[in-house]
Amino acid sequence: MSSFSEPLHNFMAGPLVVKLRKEVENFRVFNHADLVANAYHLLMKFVGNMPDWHVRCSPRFGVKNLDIVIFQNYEPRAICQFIFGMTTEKQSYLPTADIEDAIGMMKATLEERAPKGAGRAYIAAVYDYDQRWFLPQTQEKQNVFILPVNCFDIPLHHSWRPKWDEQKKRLF
Amino acid sequence: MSFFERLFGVLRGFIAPKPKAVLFDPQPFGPTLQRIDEETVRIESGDLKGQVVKLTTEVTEDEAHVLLHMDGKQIGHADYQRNAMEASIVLWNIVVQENLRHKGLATIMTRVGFRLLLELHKNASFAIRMLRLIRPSERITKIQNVGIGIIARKLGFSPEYDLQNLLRQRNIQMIELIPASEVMPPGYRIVLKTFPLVLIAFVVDKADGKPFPGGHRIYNSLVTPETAEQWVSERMIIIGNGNYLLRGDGFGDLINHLATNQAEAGIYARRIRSA
Repeated sequence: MSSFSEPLHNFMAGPLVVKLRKEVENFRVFNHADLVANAYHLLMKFVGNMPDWHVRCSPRFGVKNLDIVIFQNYEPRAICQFIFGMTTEKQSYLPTADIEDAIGMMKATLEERAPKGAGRAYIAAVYDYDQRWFLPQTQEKQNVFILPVNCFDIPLHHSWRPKWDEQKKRLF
Repeated sequence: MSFFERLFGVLRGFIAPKPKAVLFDPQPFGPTLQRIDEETVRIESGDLKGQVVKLTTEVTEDEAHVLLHMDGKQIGHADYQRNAMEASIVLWNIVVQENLRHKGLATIMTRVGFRLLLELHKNASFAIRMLRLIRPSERITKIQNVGIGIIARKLGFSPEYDLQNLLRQRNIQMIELIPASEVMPPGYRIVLKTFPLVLIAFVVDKADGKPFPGGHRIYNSLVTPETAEQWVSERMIIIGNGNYLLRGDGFGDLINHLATNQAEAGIYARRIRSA
């Protein structure tokens, strides 16, 4: 892997999650498309003008449509799927099935498109859930990463959430 | 009959323990065997169909052993402790030659040992000792006690640990997947905040009691409070480093897997008590 792969991974696993949560907190994310657009903007800012690196939205991978893929020399290095799991109907909800489906899909895509550990997959999930949960993975060869954006961790969540619900209803 | 004899008869009827009602529903347990002589049996089903094995037993006051031979060579043994602290019959070690594992030989030795000891103990409680304490920092590369864990579940044993309590999300620090090896299914290393600190576990299909093979969808699953609850309530999780005890709700399973007829089931039901 290139020397930029590690800083990119560190950015995805840390600042990107914090920034996305901030975007949700500031009432800028209300659905999946908002989330992808915000993530694309943040990733473009981070990748910048790195030679040979490209950030692409919805590239076609066979029958699969991934939300964002970061290429190096036209090889996928980071494939990203975004899950928006907040609804006005449920106050505490984890989109378990969506995350599990995404894990299976990302593993298959990595095997097919980036064998020999040349790529990593990221599943960023925005949800509001008051329980703890785990994704058991092996310590070695971990190449699928969950980026949990849990809105329950937003400060003053109890007053923030009704406002988000209200805005969501008014903004469709 | 004198008045006193009649009175004693009535009192005895009240005092004497009533035989427990047993709804005998025989369940298959390991390969079927055809007895050839006192010690030799032919395996009639499974991967070792047609093989002739010799089963010998050694019983002392404190322990019992079942030895398994094939072609004049010992290929396995099961060791039992009698009248131990946790139960009157404790299976604490079972070994099968590596190339013959997962073919039902452990089941045969368990069945022979438990039946033999049930003949000897008028008041029998059962345990399977698998306890091993593991440091959270210890590296675990493969799961352990898979075969005996599956047998324990089948026979109605339940974990000594209170899993409902231990697997509360607030008590879990980390869950790590232990990859499958050639003969072992994948498992989980669960690091807890409280004793016993580390559980080595694997998950079985609730329908057939067999571990899910590597690559199964379940290994992409998130462990949420609901998942943990389902694993425990449906007995889908087997702990490889904790003891198993036979409690009241498992008597039926044990009897149905060990007894060969209704009369024997009745005798077993009278003899078994909770560990």
